Amino acid sequence: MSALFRARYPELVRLADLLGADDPEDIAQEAFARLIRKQETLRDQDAALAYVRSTTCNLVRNRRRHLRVARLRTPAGQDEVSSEHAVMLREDHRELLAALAALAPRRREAIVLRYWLELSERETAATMGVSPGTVKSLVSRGLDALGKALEGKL
Amino acid sequence: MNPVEDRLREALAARAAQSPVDPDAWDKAVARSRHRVFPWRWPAWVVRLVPVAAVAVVAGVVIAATTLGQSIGQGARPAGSASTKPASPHPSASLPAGMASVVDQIPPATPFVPISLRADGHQVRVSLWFGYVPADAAAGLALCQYDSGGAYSGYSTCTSGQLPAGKLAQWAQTDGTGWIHLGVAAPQVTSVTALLPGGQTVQGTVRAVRGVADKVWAVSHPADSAAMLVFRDAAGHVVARLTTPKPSSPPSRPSQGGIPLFRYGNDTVTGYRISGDRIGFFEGGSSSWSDTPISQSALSVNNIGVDSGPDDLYGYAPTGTARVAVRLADGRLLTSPPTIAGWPGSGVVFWGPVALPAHTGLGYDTIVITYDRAGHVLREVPLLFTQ
Repeated sequence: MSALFRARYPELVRLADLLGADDPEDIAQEAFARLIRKQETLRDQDAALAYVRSTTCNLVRNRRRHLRVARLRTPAGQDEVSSEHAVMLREDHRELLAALAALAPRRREAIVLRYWLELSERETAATMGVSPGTVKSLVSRGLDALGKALEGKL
Repeated sequence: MNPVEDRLREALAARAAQSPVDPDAWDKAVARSRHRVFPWRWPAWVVRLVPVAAVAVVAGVVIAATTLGQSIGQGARPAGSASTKPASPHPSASLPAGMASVVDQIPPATPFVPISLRADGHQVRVSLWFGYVPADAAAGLALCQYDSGGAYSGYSTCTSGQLPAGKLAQWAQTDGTGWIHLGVAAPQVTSVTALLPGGQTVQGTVRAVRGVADKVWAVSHPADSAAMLVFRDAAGHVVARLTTPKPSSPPSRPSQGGIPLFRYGNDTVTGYRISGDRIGFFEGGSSSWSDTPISQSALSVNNIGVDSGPDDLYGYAPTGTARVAVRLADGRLLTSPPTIAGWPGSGVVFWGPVALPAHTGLGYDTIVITYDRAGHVLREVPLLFTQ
């Protein structure tokens, strides 16, 4: 378990961050904490990785949905951190990430899993708990929306 | 290769490279994993303490819940409920973080009721409880849920726990990988069954809640299908039927018929009627839509905003609403511009935007207020009871 953690924890933090979590480390730690509790029931290492990825997506989704209704405990200084990141990013990256952040959550999730984690459609579907056809549709619509949002900027 | 795809890979990699990682994360995750898992039954001392505390504190939890239990079935407002906000006896510190956050804000007025069901191949435990909205106890009870197990772990939210006048059952749902429908049903209901396309049926669970007349229920069924939920009494008579909508994918933007609402950034937020007599809002590449037909939703609240920026609230309300305001937990009242007429005969008007100052917390004690043309208050609804 600790080997999986060492190998994958940063990836999970980054995944939560890219999905728009307000506290990515908190999400990733909670995902691993749940994995530790469940480890005896998991088949193998691959199942553990799939579980922790899926849990991370689910936690971010729930957290964001919860925040939509009840914006709670926004960490002080979050904007400052974002601004700092923004300064360090290239202008075109910043514009693209802003457009990505404005997408509907599931589109954003599908796109991040496909284009950052490079998961297949089937793996993305398993992680999101939807059908591969839905992934196809979410990615396609997401890319279309990004393209339109960036028209004239690329 | 699509140029957007290439840019995406680059931008995501660049952004990901900047995420800091806590060197003590492993220790923290292990410590979390040792936290006591949610106590599905109240500890004995809590059960003993609740009635004692209830008597000692004006009109306490048990009395209030009983009174409310008698009234919520008729859709009446709970008499005296404004003075019966219960002090939560629940040790929220021992609960999972997501649940503790909700318990802290909506103190339980009843014990937790666990319902186990199987959803999408996972064993899921849904914990349900009734509680008051602290800022507006007169608005009635909230029905809160916390899901544990499988892909659903950690989901927690609340909705209205009151049956509208004349209704015998109402539902909410878990936005997980499959569908868990749950809600409140009249006291005479003893069973709930989900009828699926193709003739399949799924039996749900109905549970009584101590101190409340109405019951809670839950049933799950596979994703990607609508269901008819049938509620029966002990004699097998159908008491109520509810149709749940087929889970919706993001709707396409209709080519016409939109009503422009307000500018947001470089785009205009526009409302459209979409399939199923629902309303969808579109702005640039983003969309937000309701799963509930217009006829079944009285007041909708959406928000728009990027992750780190302030949000604008907007939505739709019944015809006759001239203005909408949002009262924050600290008492500030944020008022929308005059409403915009909806489509003729639709019964709705559009409201918003209400711009939230940066770092504004929207809590369960945030109240949405609608006014008529004369400035009279039409309704005051806790934000979590809106759609």
